[in-house]
Amino acid sequence: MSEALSLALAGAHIRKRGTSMTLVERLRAGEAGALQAFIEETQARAYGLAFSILQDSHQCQDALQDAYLTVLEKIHQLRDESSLKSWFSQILVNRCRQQLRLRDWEEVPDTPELPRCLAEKLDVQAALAQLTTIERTILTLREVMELSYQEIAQILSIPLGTVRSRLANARARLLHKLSDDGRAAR
Amino acid sequence: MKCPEFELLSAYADQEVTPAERAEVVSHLQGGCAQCRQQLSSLGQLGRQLLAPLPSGFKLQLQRPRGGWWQRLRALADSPVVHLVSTQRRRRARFGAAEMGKMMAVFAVPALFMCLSPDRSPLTAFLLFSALGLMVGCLCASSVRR
Repeated sequence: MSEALSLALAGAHIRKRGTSMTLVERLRAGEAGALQAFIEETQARAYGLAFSILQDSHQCQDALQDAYLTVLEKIHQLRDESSLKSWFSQILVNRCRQQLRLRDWEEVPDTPELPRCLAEKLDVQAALAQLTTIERTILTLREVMELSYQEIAQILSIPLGTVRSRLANARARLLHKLSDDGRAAR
Repeated sequence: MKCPEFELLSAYADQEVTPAERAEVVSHLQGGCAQCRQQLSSLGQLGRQLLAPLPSGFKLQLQRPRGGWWQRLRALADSPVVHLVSTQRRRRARFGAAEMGKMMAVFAVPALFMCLSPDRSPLTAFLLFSALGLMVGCLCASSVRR
């Protein structure tokens, strides 16, 4: 495992080998390479989260760039170092919401229902795309970013019970679509 | 035995249940419900499949684009701090003594001109004061030249 990878996202408070500074402290100190290490660690998951909301790779790139720059500019506002992951997720979700300003955030699926012949070829991402934006967001925050229900509730400003029910609905719908596709989780 | 709701199974898979709910699910699973075990297994495998792959050549450019003055002005106007300050200003302006003083001054100055002018006309008073101001200014300027 490379030195950069030793900086686990979930435990940004974990100290880097050979140094006494955490990743958050390095970011606060403006250390060259700290942001790059953070990006390397989080980029894949962050892209997954952004894509689940925006469903467009170009918009994802814009949202990610903006979110990382915001992290660099506002890292001094982060009070609890252990909440870096949820703080960053919140920034990214907000950036994605800004990109989505003209779309319906709440309920309308972003992609139309596909005809049956195409539905047979669906993969997981295509099935995911048929959920509503809020369902995709909750699902990705849980499954990809591995946030707790409490953190998801804070990020999306919704009650804890709503997170639980919407997450279950999203999973049920996704599993249903996948099983329709002949790709039920085996 | 009645199967627990899918919502409960989903929360159980995330370990986001109360001790009572956990006991309910565990006792049900120990009863040997194959359907619920299958659903839990499906839930466990779902996470790995959800990560969208990074497109090839994906590269982040971490520099703020230098927007024009209009974009910067829009960004400034959109910022929550400006919104908060402007809201407070509006609130103060509505009830503040300073704003009330300015309003009174607007009416007081013409009234003063009217009182000082011979024919009680604000226009005459304004012209008179302007002419006086111009003369004083010219005198001062000429004295400075000397």
